[in-house]
Parts: sequence; C-alpha cells; structure tokens
Amino acid sequence: MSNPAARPETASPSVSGSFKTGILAEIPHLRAFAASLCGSLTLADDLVQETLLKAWAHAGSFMAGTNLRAWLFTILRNSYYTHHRRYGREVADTDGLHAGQVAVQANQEFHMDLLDFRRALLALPLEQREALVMVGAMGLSHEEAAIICDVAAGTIKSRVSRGRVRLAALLGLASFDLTETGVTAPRRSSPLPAR
Amino acid sequence: MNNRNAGTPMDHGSDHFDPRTDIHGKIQDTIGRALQAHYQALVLEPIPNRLIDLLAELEAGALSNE
Repeated sequence: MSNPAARPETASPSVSGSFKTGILAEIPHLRAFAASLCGSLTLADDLVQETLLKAWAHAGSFMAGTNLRAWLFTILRNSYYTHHRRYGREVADTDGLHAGQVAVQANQEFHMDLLDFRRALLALPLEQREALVMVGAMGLSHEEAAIICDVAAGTIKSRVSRGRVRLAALLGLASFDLTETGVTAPRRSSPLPAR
Repeated sequence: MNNRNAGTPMDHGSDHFDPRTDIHGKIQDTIGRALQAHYQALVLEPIPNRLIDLLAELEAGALSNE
C-alpha cells in the first residue's frame, strides 16, 4: 500500500546473513517499542517473537537497501494491533516495567522518576503514545513514523503535540498553562500550535 | 503616582519574559528527556535467550515454514 518498506516486490527467496544480522541489531529496539505499546516486557517478548517469525516467513517481501527498522516495526505494530483488537482493550500496565526509583535527568525545575513517567505514558491514548515514542524517544522523523503507522506525517505531528500536552497534564507539569491551551476544557480546538 | 519604572507586574521591558512560553519549552525538554530515558532503559535490558534461540532456529531452517 502506501508503505514502501513493506511493498512485496523483488522477492529474494533465501534469507541472507545480512538480513539476520540486521534483525538481530533491531531486537533491542523492537522490544523497547513493543514494551512501550503494551507496558510489559514479557508481553513485548511475545510480540517480538511473533515479529521475528513473520519477518522470516516474509523475508522475500523485504527489499534489500530499504529501511529494515521501518519494515520490522510495521510488522510488530500490526501484530500488536491485532491482539489489541482481539482482546478488545489494552493490557497496558506498568507491572512489567520495573523502574524502581530511577530519576529522570530532567532539569532544575522538574524532578521526575521513571516509574511515574511510565504510568503517565501508558495512560495516553495508544496513537499518541506510539507517536511520542517513535519521534520523541527513537528520534524517527515524522515521515518515518508516518510510514510505520500508515498515516500522513501531519497526523503524526499532531499526535505528538497532543501527546506531549496530555503527558504534561498527567505529570502535573503545567496546570496553569494547560487550562489556557484547552486540555482541561475538553473538545476545544488544537491544544498546541503545530510545530 | 504613575511611576513607569516602579517595576510593577505590568511593567514589561523590551526583553519581556513570558513565563508561559518559557515554562512550555522546559516542559517539552523534560518530556523529551523522560521519553529518551524510558526508551534507553528498555533498549539496555538484556535480550532473553528465547529470542536469540529463535533466531538461531530460524537460521538453521528448523522453522522456515510459517
């Protein structure tokens, strides 16, 4: 479809060594992304396992030289959404993401611990959470994230903006600021100027 | 009286400090750092053997059929 990384073309039937090496290198990122979606490392490993099996089975549809990460993330994300739909609700939960009292290196004004942050992150709507993780944590461009999610780059942009505002509200970072930007008054126009 | 330089809250000079935009930038920065800390901590988690074993099995062709 509109996903060039996943376009089934020029099938190379054998799985090359570089394909395997590439996948191996992506496993930590696949796990981190999966755990960010589902909130549990155990569940994340199930998702990564499923992703590896699918990637191997469809290795022929991966075009060498294209973005392996985007291709794998698309598979993983689709797997997650399938489960998500099947169960009808999210299993997001911080049980599997023990963070102890690890403080996030914030700045002088704000102190935050990782577990608090993860609770807030997992409370976000899934679409905002995945956009924030891809763009804000992994450093993907809006365009790359858009390919993985099969939406327009502008959609990713607005999900990131709304996600940030919502996170700030959940973390109590900006109470006075957010009332003016429409977060505490639901259904007002866009909470943040597009960036 | 109307002392313009009295430093009242309404008295904004040319390098006018807007606490809202300033705090907003800091909030964005904080959220960005927290997102990266969250993600990096997960990336550094040791990969479980079952995933490594799975890749090895796939490579050996044991599970080549879907």
